Amino acid sequence: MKLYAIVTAMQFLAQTDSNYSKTLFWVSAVVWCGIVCYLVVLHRKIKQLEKRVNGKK
Amino acid sequence: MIVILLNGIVMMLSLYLIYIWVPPAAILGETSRIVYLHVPLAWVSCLAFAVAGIASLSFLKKSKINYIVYARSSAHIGLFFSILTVITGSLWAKVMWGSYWNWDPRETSITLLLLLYIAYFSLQQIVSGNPKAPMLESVYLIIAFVASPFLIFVAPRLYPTLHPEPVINAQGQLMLDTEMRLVLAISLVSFTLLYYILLGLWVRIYVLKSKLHEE
Repeated sequence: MKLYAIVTAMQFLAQTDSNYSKTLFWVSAVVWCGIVCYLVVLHRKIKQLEKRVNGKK
Repeated sequence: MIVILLNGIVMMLSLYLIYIWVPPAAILGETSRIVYLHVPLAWVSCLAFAVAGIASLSFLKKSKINYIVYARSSAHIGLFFSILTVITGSLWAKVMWGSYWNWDPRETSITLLLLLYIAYFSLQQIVSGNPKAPMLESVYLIIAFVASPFLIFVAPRLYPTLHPEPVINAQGQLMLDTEMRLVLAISLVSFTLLYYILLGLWVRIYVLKSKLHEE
């Protein structure tokens, strides 16, 4: 269902965007949000590891 | 956390500038937008390999294990970014020259550099567990660091190339419009910031995990 919604949104963007630059912008923005989420996950992992290290001390 | 959010904002801004704000280049057209991703990716891979080499040198000099952690993490990031550089370059080559791969001197030299660092990861696997592993790794990374400038700057200039005149050419002139310069600069800053954050996080995780294993 989610994939269908993404594909439909992309098709709509591609139809209204003659040179695909807006479509590429949104695709890159989604990829970039994924990278930021990965960085946040790493940051949280560090916090958990720090707690474990401090707990052992 | 603040740096991550700042990087998120700067990267979103640069994406907006790349795809919406900046006009396409005169001859290259819409495809020219890939240069704002391709060049920063190539820059970060060079930076990452240079940091790996310098950290290895520092490890050999001071024998602090933290330096080799920096070198390993930086080489990992450099490999990842150079793969992305090759992918974006191939896509652009397909549009401009009609083929994904043309054995252009610059394409060949970046592939050699990539192979050099893939070989490093093979070496890392082979020597893991060996007490001399950090020393062997750092020696290899220094050799790769010495070879990098030749592969990046010298070899592509020795033979005729399909690539356009480099952005910063032999005369040291920046052949870009003001708008293009601005977008390229912001993109360079955002990718460099991403490298800095990734390196910091990976090193911190590695250090904390080794502390847990020690205790």
